[in-house]
Amino acid sequence: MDVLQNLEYGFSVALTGANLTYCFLGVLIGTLVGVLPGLGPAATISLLLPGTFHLNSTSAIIMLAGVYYGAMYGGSTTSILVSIPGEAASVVTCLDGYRMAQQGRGGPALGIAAFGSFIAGTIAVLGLAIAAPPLAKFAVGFGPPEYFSLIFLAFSLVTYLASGSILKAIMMIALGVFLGSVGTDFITGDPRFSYGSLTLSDGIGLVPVVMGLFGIAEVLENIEKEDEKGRLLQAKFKSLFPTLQDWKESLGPIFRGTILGFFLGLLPGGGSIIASFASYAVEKRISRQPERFGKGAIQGVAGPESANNSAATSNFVPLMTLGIPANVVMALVLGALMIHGVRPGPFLMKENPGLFWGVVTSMYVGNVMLLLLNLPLIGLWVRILAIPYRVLFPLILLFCIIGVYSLDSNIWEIILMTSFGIMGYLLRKLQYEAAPLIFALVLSPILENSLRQALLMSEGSFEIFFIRPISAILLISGILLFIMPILPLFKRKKLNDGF
Amino acid sequence: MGTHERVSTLFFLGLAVAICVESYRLGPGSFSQPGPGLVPLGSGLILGIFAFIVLVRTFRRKEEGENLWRGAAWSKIIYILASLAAYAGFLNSLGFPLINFLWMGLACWKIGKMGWKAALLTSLASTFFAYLLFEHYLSIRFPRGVWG
Repeated sequence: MDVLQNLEYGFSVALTGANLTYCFLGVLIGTLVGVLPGLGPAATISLLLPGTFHLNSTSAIIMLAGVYYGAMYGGSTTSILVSIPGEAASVVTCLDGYRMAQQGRGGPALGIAAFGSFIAGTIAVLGLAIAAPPLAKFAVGFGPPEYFSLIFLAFSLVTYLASGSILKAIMMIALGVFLGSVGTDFITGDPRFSYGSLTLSDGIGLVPVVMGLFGIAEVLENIEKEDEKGRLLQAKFKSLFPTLQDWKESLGPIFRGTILGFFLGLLPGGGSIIASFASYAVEKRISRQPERFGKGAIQGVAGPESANNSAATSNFVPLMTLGIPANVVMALVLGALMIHGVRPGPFLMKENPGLFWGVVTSMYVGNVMLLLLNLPLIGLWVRILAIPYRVLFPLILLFCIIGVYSLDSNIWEIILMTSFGIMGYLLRKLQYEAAPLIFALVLSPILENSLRQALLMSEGSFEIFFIRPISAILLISGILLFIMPILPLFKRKKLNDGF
Repeated sequence: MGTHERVSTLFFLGLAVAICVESYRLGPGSFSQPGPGLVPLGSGLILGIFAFIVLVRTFRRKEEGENLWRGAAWSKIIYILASLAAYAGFLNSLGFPLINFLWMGLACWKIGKMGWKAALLTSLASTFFAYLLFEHYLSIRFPRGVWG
């Protein structure tokens, strides 16, 4: 079978000494990041981006991918033991995981979270290997109208699934598209919004923006709180292995969570957070004893943890085959690929099979490492959580400064990052989400390129987006998703707070 | 939140107007010959329309909401921002080792509230390891500054 041959080739790439090392580094850093609240995979990947410039593209993406799914593992540890979700995707695990820990069953909760994540990750990697080739073949037929419509759909999904105000999410997307246009027009060569600045004439780079909006803004938000004492941790647990009964109750949620997470992760705007919440809702809904949820039901840990890890893997499918990131973390990975001169898309598998299959199989290797790493090191992760933030924040800022400076040895990039840091801090205060902005910033050049090419093809007619079937389906879906949440605004009834 | 939201949406509205004006100056072209100002103009219009909608909604809401800045440790925030600007300003002239040592030390002592010995140790260690990791291992060249 092609799939088996591809996987065999992938393992030959992933199992080299260098790639194993970077995979290990990625999952280790990812787990650490997942354990520590406040520094998510997006901020971490942006901090690591400059460090990957000196690696080959395959090793770089293997490491960054490891950070992403590693963070999913790490987040569950503190969710269960101390009810502090290290990651947004692990919030729902707090509900039942922490209750289990309080009942003296923290070990089985941790164990089932780790094993469930491993099973989900393994199945998702296989799913990725099976789904990616036909999707890539399908995507070969994509032209500028299809890409524009797909990005429009992605924007619609991102706003529809925004956790805060949808109107504000749309504003952030518009702002991101504008920021993406700063620099030099790629067709005419005219400077746009750079006003003579050499730094801006190259465009606003992804790294200073992300480091500012996530890294600096996070520090500012956390530092303004009063001095915190180190958290008191009294997490104790005995055996990490679930009982036979635990397995019996968890197998169904694990497999359901895996499938649900895989498909949700394929959608632009989809990701681990949505997958974990959706899985919890499904398990509670179909359970014969829904009243147990929130009181220590192991299904409330098994399902969401499997779903978030599965989604973290399937997020790579639209990125690698279509070149469209599913969420902000994937947008950063896309940025990393482009910085390395690799353009993901339908031809990636043919032009760079080593990178594609190497990354896919490294995810399985990474899952094995995580299973072996997490269970014995749980005590260490819990201790790390006790480090006061006042010790961590200078190191975070230092990484931001060095990371940004290392791009072009340009001190103005530090100023730019600081400016976005202020912006990010204010956006958080005013409840604007930064993720849609980053998403749009990364996709803006592709959006503009596709739109302008499509209009040139059609000599100015927008019909081209509707007469091509794939483009029509994508665009109409995007328009419907865009309109649906906004329609209630124009109705004469009470508006709910989500808008 | 009401007043803050109004101010922020007014800011975005103003920004949207500025984007639209500048995009028009760049030249949006026509749909058959799209120019460099087309997509920025579109983004400016969308930003402006939705900022206006949010602004209108803030006037419809009765409650003023909480004071967002209550309890904010302004001195720490301003200190961090000023220190970042100073870092950028003095990096080339003082060089990475010195500016980093000074910056880390002050950040740990002033904001981190560490004792001076702990702050000194942390800044020495972080400067050393950062230099080792980034300059030697990752071959990132930092300015030498006063070290020549």
